[in-house]
Amino acid sequence: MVRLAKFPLSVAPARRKLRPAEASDPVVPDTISVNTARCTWETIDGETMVIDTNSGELFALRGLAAPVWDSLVGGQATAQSLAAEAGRRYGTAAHDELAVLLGVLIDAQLLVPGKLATEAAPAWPGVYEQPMLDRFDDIADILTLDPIHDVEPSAGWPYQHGGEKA
Amino acid sequence: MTPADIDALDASLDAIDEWRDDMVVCLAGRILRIRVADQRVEQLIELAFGHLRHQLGAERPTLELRVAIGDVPGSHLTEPSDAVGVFRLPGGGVAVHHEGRQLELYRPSIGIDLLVAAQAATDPELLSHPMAATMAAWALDHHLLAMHSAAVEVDGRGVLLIGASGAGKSTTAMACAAAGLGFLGDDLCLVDPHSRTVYGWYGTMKLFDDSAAAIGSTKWSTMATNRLGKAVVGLSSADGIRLVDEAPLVALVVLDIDDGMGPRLIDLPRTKVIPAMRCTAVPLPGAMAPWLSGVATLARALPAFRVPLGWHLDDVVASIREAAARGCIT
Repeated sequence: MVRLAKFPLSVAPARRKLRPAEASDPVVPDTISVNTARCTWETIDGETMVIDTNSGELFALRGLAAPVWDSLVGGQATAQSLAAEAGRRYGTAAHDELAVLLGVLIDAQLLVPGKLATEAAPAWPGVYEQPMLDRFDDIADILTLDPIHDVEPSAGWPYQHGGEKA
Repeated sequence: MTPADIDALDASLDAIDEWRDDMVVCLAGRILRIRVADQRVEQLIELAFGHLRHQLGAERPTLELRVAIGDVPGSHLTEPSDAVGVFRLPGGGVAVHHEGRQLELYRPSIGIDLLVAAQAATDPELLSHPMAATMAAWALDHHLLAMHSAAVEVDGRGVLLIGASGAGKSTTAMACAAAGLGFLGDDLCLVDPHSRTVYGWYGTMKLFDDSAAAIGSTKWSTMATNRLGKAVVGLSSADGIRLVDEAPLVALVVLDIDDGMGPRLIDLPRTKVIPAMRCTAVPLPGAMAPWLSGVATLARALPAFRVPLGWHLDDVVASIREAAARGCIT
């Protein structure tokens, strides 16, 4: 059970509040950084594999996505400023493609409002490589079939943080 | 599932006056003592772990396991979400409830306990992999990854066979074993990513009839047949199978679908390894981060290949031998 999300083919920019060539779009003003509490990642040969430890979803980031992700590990920026810089360096298509990808990562809660003091500074590559994302949900399916429950002795089991029975 | 169910399990096990002989095994270099309270579970424990039997010397067991048959607490529950799944215990460890038929607990300070309903003593999944979830949780505490994978040994070199359910792990492992290669597992293995060692875990296998026929081994005695139609077989050296406890891991092989061009070894780029290994993940609390770190360690260190499968099993075995020969020894 693999869901492949090739960008920008399968996720229309219109789904996101980031829109092409609107670098000053005020809809998404917040800075973003990697949700380190929720995900873990490894980089191999320039590709970054991110796993959402809550859902089990695996994301493979390639091309421009990988250095941008790296920069958001220890720094923060607005999605618009990153997309705008990509557009300035590589052209309008790069702006749009990066904006869409960042939107998907925000939707997946892998990028969250930044609370870091450092500004993200991606190592922009000399040659543009389209940001790509493969999204795999097999592990999430396994977790759904064989769920992991948190427990709270006084509340009975299963129990999810927040007080509701799972 | 409530905390009272755990108390009930403890009461059931504590009330047992007479435990049968202990079995001491060595798993992944750790000494485990398994105590059983019933002949029916004694047989299944022997089938699963008999190949790991160990003569206890001065060392102390690092894990105690108790296995008994009795009334499983919580079996009255009808809500699936209340009765099924992995429960993260306060203070560490897990409880795993199998629809009222088995309750297994791993508590780091106590060990592993398994209570099986009498009517579940011949469940195929229990026979093939007893206590898999709790032992995987214990392994995680010892920096070992339980991986949904097969593995074989070739001239002292371990090869991990990766593939989703139905991809051909069991067929490949058993074809290799029938050809004289060492058997480390057909569905579950323990891996230490840092020392790059793969450990044999269960001395059982699950195989479809057509695979058994293709391998030419119809003499294996079937203990049960699971819901998918796979026969559960206990392996032993008497069947001509060489069960291996551990081997240095030298290569990763992803089993791929038949592409019509016959089984052969194809290089797999390093960046493709982690996505290909996602089927090896075993769902446990806190397991995702160590899993990703572990498979990344393996992906960086070991050559990876893919083998399109087919019924030319001699070619499959030859491909696995070639992967081992091209493997990385440090």
